[in-house]
Amino acid sequence: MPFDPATIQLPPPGLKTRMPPKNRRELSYEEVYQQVRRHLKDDEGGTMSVQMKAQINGSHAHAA
Amino acid sequence: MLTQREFARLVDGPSLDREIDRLTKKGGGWLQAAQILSRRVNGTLDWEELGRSGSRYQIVGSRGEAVLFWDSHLKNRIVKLRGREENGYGMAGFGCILVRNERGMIEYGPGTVEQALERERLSWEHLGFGCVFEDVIGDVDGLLLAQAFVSGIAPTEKEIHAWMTQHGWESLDEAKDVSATLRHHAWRRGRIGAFDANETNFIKSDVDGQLYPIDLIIWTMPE
Repeated sequence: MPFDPATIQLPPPGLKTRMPPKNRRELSYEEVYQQVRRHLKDDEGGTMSVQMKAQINGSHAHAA
Repeated sequence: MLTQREFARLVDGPSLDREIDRLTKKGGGWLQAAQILSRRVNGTLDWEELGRSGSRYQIVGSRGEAVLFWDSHLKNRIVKLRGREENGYGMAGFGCILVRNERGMIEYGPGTVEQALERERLSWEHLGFGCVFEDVIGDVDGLLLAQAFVSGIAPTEKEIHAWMTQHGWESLDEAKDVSATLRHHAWRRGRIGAFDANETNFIKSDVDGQLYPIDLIIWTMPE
């Protein structure tokens, strides 16, 4: 069956959701960028996050 | 549906160039990370048509399954670009799902677009939070999902463990049929698995101090 985006409903209707609260203020791009980098640990002494390692390992596996 | 050209025009090209340059300069394994990011972008949009500085989608990261953009128009959400295995998304495909390998062990397998959306549906159903569908790019070359941005920090492993337990999930840390590399962050509740529950996949909100899972792999446990 071909992919039909019109059928997609997320979140599914009628579901009890658990949404995060609104952020205290509007963040700038630079603030979000720094926060994501910290979160992914991409700046800690040049070490690589688990996610980034998986990405590279996945790439190797694919190439193999 | 967005064409590759239409999507490219929405992406802040200079921010993308800066990120690739930053990763390249770090050298070592990061050089490969830069190459993967380039391949992901190249395979999903028309590079020649990238938007100028200040365009709507500004890159904030590239992780295991997706390239992450800040939506500078709506300013409250992260947009995740996922794509095909052959376009730099590797073994994740449009998003990892749970499969059983030939040895009977549960591990990750590459998901299709439909499976990526089913995973989000399961995330909403079992965690109460997930991504919404944003768009598809080209002939299903790319999938855009959007998620509310939660400002905060990564919780500790202990906090994650407590949160999962409190919500009725059982650890699979000692499950013999789960791949050893996945076990430590794998959980199940009934027939549903919640994998990759590590500190990069949760945010502890700086508003209410609660934990929000942002990228767990929620999937039916394979038979």
